[in-house]
Amino acid sequence: MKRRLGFCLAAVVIFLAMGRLCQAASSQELIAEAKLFDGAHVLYGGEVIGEVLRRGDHAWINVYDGDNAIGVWVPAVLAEKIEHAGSYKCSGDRIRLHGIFHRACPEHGGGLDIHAQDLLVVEPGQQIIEDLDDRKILVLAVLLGVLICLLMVRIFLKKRARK
Amino acid sequence: MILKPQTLDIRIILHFLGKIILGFGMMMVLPVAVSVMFGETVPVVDFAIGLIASISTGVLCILVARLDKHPEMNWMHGMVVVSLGWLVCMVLGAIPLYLSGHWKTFLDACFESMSALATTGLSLVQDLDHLSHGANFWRHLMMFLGGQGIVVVALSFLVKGGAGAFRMYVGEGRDEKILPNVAETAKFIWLVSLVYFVVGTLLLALCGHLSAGLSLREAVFHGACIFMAAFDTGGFSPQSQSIIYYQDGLFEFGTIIVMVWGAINFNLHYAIWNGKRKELWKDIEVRTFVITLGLVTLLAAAALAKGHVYGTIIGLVRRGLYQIISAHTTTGFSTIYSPQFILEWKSLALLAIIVAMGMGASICSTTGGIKMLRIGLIAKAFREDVKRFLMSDSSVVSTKFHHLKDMFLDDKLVRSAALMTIAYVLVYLFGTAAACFAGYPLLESLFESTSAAGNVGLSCGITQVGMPVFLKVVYIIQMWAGRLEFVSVLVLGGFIVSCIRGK
Repeated sequence: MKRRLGFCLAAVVIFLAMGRLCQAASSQELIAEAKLFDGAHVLYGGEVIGEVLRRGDHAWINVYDGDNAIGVWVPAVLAEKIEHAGSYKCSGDRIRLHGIFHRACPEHGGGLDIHAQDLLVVEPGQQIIEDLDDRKILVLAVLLGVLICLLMVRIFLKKRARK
Repeated sequence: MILKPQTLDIRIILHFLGKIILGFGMMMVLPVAVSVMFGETVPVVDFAIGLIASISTGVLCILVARLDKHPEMNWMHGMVVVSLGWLVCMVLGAIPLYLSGHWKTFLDACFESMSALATTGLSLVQDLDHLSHGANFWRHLMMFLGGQGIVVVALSFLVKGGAGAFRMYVGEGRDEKILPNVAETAKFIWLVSLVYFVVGTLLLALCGHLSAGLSLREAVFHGACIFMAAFDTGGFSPQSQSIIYYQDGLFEFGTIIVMVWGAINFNLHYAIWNGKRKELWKDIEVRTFVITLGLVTLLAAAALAKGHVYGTIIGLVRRGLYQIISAHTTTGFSTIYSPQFILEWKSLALLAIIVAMGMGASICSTTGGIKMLRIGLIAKAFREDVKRFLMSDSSVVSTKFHHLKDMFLDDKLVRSAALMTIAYVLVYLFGTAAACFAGYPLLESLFESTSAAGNVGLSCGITQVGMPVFLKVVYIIQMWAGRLEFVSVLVLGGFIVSCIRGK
């Protein structure tokens, strides 16, 4: 436990030190000021969404910061840290990463991306428990009643027409 | 003097409207099945509400109509049924979306629903990356239904073929029958679409699993959704980043194949199915598409290369050409972020993509926009006129073209093509003026308006949850009118006027 805490503290210190060298940026800033950030070391954070897309010794993760999701190219070793990716049933790990931003990455077909050099899971994701609103059940029951009545009227009218 | 519609007219309209709603509503069983497969409980209840609301509405319409004999439908009935049917299906389709809680208002859910049905692809969804598989599947399924035609759904299962059925079929923006009987045509469209769906889903799932790195289950789900959106030139995607999410060239290539395949006239699909592959290269629509695609690509590539927007040829193809093909087939998939169009693309490249969106692809396909046949005919008419000036007064100039068969160009055809082109341009300008009125710059307004009315779905950033309500309504009208090619919408307008002012 102590070793784990020590490791986390060291990681936080390293990240704070990097923060002095790198510029923290949101997805909106990165997209709007892409030319300015092109090739720069950036700090970016958000929720990992979708799936971790593994490609040999690297992987793609898509990190959503509340406005946009940006593709991050990470070494497979770093990708191993991610345990939850955001979906309907799960909130993704919230991560903070440091890497080089590319406006039109020459290695990846001119895409806007970040090549991560380090990554820290700030808050692990968790399962989302579905919450069924009772009012929906009530509406469903009422609608079902209406439909049954309509079908009965239809059957009655058909029988009468046959007579 | 305007004649007021009689009770029988309204009953005939209600009868067929009810059948269309029933056909559409029954389709909600499919997202219920998807939700069950993925173990999602709440979406099952949402779709059950939507399903029962739709079936109740359909049954109510048929009950109110109470027609004893098989009704005979005229052109007015057919057009009103179609245009009204699309509006009612928009509202019913929006119910499960709104209940999911991912759309801020019911109007936003209606916007999404119309965008899906009209195969546009503009979206007002919030937090798409956490949307249930069921609701996500429904967004894409609505594109598939709208692309093939809601009326085609009803014609295939619930309405007997005949003159009345053909009138509804035409009202849905298709004026070419593939087979002599319109119900057989509808069934053929479904047969082709389902075969392509299975093959396309498998291929995209393989790309997604083996190349992009998706898990097998997600690869199949994404393959199915992306196929429906690509083949029906709709442009929705299961994740908020559109095609960027997959970060994979092979997957992008797969979507290009499906988009182009979906942009081809269904009559040509029929010819290909019957072994007449040469038709594909002889047809005026395909030829015009190849020429216009070449021209807009050249323009955009020149502008992007001059501005050093993408440093490599591969970048130019994956970020530049991809957007152009997506725009020209009126799909709306994107491999760049929306604001990048305005921030990074040069004016000439933007102009090229707006022109591509405005032109669209084939008649009798799922694409929007002016369409290649009309552009081709107008170009041929211009050439004929120039030829006429160059030759002696006594010479007779005639122009032939090949569209399913050899035909002579006549003034009636050119007039109809020109009228429809003018109508589209006016609707593009109407949306542009509305967005300018809301305070957006001209170029962005033109881009978004062309995208909405041409049923494309690319966005430069105007379409957002926070945009003015009246602009949302304008875009809904543009998507609806653009998909139905105006006539049935105008007839509905006339019908309402005659109900109010008729004697």
